[in-house]
Amino acid sequence: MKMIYKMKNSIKILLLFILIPFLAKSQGILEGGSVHGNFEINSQYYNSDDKLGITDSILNGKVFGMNAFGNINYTNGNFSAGIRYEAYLPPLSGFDIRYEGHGIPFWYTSYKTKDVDITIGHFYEQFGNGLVLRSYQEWMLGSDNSFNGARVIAHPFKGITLKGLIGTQRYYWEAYENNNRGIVKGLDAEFFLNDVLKVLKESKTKIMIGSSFVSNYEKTRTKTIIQDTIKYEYQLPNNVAAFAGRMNISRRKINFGTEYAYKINNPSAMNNYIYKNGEAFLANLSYSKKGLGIMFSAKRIDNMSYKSKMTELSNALDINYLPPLSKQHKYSLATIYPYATQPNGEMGIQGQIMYTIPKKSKLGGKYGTKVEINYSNVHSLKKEQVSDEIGIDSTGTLGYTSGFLNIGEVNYYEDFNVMMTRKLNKSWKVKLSYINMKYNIDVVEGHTGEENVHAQIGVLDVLYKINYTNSLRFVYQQMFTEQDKGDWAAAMLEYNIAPKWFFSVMDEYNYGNPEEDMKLHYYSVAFAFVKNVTRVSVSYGRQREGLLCVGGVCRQVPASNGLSLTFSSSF
Amino acid sequence: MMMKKFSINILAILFVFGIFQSCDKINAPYLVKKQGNTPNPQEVTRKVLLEEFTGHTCVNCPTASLVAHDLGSIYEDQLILISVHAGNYAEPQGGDFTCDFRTLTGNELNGYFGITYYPIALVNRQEYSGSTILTSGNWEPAIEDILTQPADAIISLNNNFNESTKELSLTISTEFLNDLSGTFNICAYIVEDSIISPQKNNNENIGITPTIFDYVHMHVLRGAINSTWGDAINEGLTITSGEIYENTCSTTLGNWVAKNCHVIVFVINNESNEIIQVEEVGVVE
Repeated sequence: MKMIYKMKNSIKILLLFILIPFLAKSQGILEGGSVHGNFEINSQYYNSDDKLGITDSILNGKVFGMNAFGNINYTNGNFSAGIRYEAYLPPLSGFDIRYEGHGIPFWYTSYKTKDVDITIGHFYEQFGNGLVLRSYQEWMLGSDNSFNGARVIAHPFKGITLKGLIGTQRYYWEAYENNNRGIVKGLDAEFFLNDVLKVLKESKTKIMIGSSFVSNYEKTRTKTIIQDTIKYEYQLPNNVAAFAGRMNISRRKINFGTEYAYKINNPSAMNNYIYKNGEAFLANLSYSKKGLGIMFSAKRIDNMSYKSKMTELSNALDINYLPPLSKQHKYSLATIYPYATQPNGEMGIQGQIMYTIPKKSKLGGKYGTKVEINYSNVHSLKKEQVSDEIGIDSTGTLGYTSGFLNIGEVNYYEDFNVMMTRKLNKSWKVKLSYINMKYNIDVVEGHTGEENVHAQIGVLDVLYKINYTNSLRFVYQQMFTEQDKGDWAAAMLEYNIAPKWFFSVMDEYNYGNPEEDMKLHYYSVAFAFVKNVTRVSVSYGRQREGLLCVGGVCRQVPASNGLSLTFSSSF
Repeated sequence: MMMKKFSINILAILFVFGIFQSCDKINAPYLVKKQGNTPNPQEVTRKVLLEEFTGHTCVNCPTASLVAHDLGSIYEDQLILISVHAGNYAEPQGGDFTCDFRTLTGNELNGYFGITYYPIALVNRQEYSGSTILTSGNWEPAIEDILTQPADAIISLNNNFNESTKELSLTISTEFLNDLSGTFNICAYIVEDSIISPQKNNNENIGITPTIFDYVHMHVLRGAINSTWGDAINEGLTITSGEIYENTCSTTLGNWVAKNCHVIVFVINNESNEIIQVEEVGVVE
């Protein structure tokens, strides 16, 4: 089936690209066109490593993995077309094995003028913050929920943007057929009121309002359950709709944005087939001026997983996107416990202050000092029983009730962090970070019964510029925790010869692991060479297991040991 | 301007389409008792399980497998086949016969039913003409004999296979159509089709003698999901017609081709060892 799909797909693409020049030539639009693209190849050679539990029998001959893609885009005036080729031969360790294979999962043709933008084929789209619809690709996560169908974006009047789309979503290499997943329809309207209303034309207060409507049609299969030896059938909706309203107001240095989304009954494997309506709320208030930025955000997510397949449990086929309200850390030890959004319910807040202590002041020093303080806290929802007889989250019921401001007692994640950056002189720059986090490993990673991890992390990041092109960077990280795998220390040394060469040596040492055998060093060495737009990097070493998260969406990365080669270029 | 009007029209059509097709509001009760779903036992088909004991160095086995295959063509989905590789002829040997298709379950069945010569089969693990282990000539009349009896149960299978982790979970609903006494167990086995591996052969009508090197082994027993003798259904309680019992089990698939694998589930009477109903479903539906 996969092969037939790929063959059909490839034939379509081939026809498209054979026909374009002929069609174009007849209208003379081939003249002046341009072709752009980019490529990336990520490959790894795997070694067995008894300490990591990777034996030859686990590798089972699969000692090599490769993920690769190439985008080729043709544009000519208002017209554009493109394809993306992908190959997973086989997929790198940690990527879904359903990606194994190669083909063209993404192609499109598009015509865009000042007033209208029509796309046929595959496309990515986002309505507002994505609470009811967002399709995107994240290569590092192996997630791609692109639509295949048609989309129209129109600007009928100044300040008004209307979007309409119909399509099915990508599911690895599986073609859409026989209602094997839903068909998504979406409409979005956005009004920039300063352009639409004369009274606001000259106003310094800028107001945008928008609304979205999305519906997923999935021909549901019969689903039954046996309770007390009696067979019941779920009354399942074929069409599940969600809608949202949003607003953004800004005046000079202050910006306020908010969105509220509502989803009608959507029993699914994700929510244990409960019939409660879903809702999501997001608000963001920020103030910024030179040297100071303040941001505060709040959100509530309640039964808001929205997928185009009722039975899907993996990250695939998400129609919407629930943004995380926590800082995405970059230092490696701070990424050991990353937060993943809980679509079935959570309430969170985040606050952040960025302040630059002025230069040439007592505290700021000669070049000024940047200070960033961030705090986030995510809790469960307070859920109450629908009735005395029905337990919370019972399948085939409304599941639970929860007031809009009802915060649950279970803490999912809490993170307080401070970062200070200071340039000491022309050669030295120092960054100091302190992170104090609480992480509910039971909820986020499904480690049932394990106590919350309380970790404190300190980071020293020093950059020494030897001269105009040569620099050295040293990073030391220390993590203290009494839970999970215990304490870690990590050190890294980088040598950079701009703009072409890069070398690094790194070791993460889990010296506090409660299991004596697992007090391991995760060492790696790497170098990279860059010339113009082409980058080649090689690294060798151990990779620790863990969650890799981008934007609150996570992928489990297994431990590995081996040689990695990455090649990327564009034209 | 034309394009602008065109796009607005398209959006208007989409909008109207969206509104009318948008949403199904479901009101309680969300679970509805299945009406009239206790079928008449006379209308439900009894299915038969043929467990053929074989081995890759057994020269007579391809002929018997052909008999089983032909019976499968006659009875279609009423006959479900398992090839149990067990005994001396299934042992891996040097040269071309290094594969080992033996399983713990196969070995256990082989020992329990006292099988010492091959090819031989169990048909629903029932006696026919005074014997439970039957040579190929008796398979068809034994099947015919069983098919004349009305079914005692219906098995409904709902499997969930995660292709990424190879985890397979199975929900089995057994609906009894008659009042029954005794203890019944539910067993779930996995078989794999289309394994190409050498097989000894003495029948030139089937293939090269003495060894068919690219022999396609079908219905090869890969193991039991919930042990050889399965899980209890009623634990000795009397079964009344119309009762439905639900069992769940799960496993992680071995290094097999998932799309060639099937789950075979059957209800067995613990006292008599007889199989009263059997059902089959692909691992990848």
